[in-house]
Amino acid sequence: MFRKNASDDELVQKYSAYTFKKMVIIFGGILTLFLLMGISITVGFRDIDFFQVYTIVFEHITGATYEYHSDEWWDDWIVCNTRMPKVVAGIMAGIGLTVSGAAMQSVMKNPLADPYTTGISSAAVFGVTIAMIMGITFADINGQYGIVFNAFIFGMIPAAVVMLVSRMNSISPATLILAGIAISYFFSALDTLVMTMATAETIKSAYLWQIGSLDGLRWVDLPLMTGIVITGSIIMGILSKKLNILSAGDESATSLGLNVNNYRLLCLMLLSLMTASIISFTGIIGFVGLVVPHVCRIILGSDNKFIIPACAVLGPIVILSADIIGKVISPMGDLPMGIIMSFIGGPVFLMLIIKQRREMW
Amino acid sequence: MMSADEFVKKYLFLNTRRLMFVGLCAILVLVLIILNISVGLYDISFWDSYRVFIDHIMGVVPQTLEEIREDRIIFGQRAPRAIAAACVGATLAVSGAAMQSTLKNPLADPYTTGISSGASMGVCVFVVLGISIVPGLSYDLGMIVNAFLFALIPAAAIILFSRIFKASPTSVILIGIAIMYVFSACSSLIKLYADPDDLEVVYRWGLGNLGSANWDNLIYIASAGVISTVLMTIISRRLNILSMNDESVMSLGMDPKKERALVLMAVSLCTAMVVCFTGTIGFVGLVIPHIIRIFMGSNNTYLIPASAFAGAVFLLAADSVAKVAGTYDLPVGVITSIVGGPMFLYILIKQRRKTW
Repeated sequence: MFRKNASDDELVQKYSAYTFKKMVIIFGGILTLFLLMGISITVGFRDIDFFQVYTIVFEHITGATYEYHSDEWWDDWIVCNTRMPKVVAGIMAGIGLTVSGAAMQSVMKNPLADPYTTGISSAAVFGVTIAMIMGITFADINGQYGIVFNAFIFGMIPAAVVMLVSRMNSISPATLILAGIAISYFFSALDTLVMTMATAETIKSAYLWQIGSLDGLRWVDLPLMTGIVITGSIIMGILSKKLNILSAGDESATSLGLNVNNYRLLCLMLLSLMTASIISFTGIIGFVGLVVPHVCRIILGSDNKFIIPACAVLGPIVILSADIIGKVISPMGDLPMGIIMSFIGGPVFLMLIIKQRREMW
Repeated sequence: MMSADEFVKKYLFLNTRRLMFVGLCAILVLVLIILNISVGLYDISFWDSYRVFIDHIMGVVPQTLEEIREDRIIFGQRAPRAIAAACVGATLAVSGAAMQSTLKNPLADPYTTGISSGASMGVCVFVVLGISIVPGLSYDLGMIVNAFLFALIPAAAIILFSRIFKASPTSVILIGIAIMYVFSACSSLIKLYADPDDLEVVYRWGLGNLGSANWDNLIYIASAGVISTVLMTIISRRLNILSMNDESVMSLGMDPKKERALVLMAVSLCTAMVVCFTGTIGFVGLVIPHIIRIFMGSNNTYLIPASAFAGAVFLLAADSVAKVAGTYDLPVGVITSIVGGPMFLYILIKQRRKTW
């Protein structure tokens, strides 16, 4: 990339131009995200236009009050109490899942890895089902915390299996992912079994839970998810330099003074926790963690220092767009965002498998 | 050194053992059909079901109201489902065994390679959107043709990718799974236009269910089972040759590419005929041939018929469990996935030390 014999000054200048460009791209992403939030809130049964959304939100924050059940009151209520939580949840899901995906790809040195393809998501959902329907939790913790903790514990099962399998000699990336997919089939089947056996829940609701959607999320669901995702992402961001070292290979990383196994375990636990906290509320959202980091790598190269923040911006953009597309195509809300995601994700996954040899790593 | 006599004796002994295994499976199929019939919401004991079933076949006309009701339930509703389960199991297991030999891939079966999902997509297009690719056929036949044509897409993709990109066995399966994701997303999108009341049926169907089998569509399911078993047994020697590398196949005077495509087409057709009525039932074609290989080795001449019977046994058992387990009739695909998922993982990891 850099000319040989370039003077130090020139090099520094080039490097700052190089980082500047990336910062601009990330900043542009943040702006787009802000606009998408507005659009996402406008879409729905009650007609609220784009600029009105920002006004309503601003006025809500500054503490405006309206006459009970007046038109303005309804606008305010719909924007701030029904549509906003979904948008915020979408953003959190986007951040958490894509950052997890990016970290996982670096940690496992596997371009196909993400919480969905390795089965972590399905196992976490099974943990949620067990906690909610059968009331079995591993810790004596009540409510949301118990559910998320359960999801986390179950999510660690595929993480452990994947890690064990990857330790074996001569296991190709594709084999590893197939192992993950087998695990996810198993847990999805168990999930359906428990749901249909224990309660009068229909197959449909079991199915919807396995596709993932933002419907029905309220403000009370958000603090836990947001807390874990934001903390987790910040830690991942801080660790991003070490992720770079790790993707150079175990020997090199060890020689650079990194305790590879401990570090890998820490990353896997962290990303399982993030995935669990999201999935406990939204159901399985597939492919975000796979597609977005790859797009970021194509645009920004594979320096994790930029990839992680870029993912945290692009992930929510993709999730919100998928949600908007779903709502536009089917106003009745029959088209969960998860279906749109697998529409985009399936072909990308296919392309990645075929291109695996000429990957951008 | 083994003398010729001893060798022949040993071969005959092994053959008898194999035949006995197949015979045992055949008996088990009959027992399980009766067991499957006796399980259900309306309580009828094993022997009663047997009696009612035999009576109906023998032409004994039921007299009392009770008898008529039992006859209706046993013969009208449950018997076609049980027979369908046997035939579907046989079809899927045989297809799986044949695919594993021709693609030289221990992980191949109609489900993992995406052929089932292609067929489901075809049915979805036909039933919900009313688009028939070959117009002018009767309803059932049009649906089968649609399913078959769509099932050819993943089959073609697999041949193409494995040839052009020289993909490893695992990559081929991953490609199949990726195709499956795309197809199921398309199917979900199409389902939007379905009648809301039918949605539950469609979801159920996506998980694989034998509940829709009746005497009218049993003819298609049964013929798929019989045709696939007989056809694959007849060409089993060719399948043996195909499981060698391409150079050896050619030196024996066969065109590996053409033969492979033909076998895949036959498998797609049989799978399509089954999937039309049951939805996608996963892993039967993967699990059964592998278990049979442990007992009988990989000679397709024995593997195929044994897989057919064992597949029937497996699906009948799974369906019986599904009928007992669910308050509202659990989809049988759930049971096969619970058994098949770990099995798939096991085969995947053991892939190197395989009994091929």
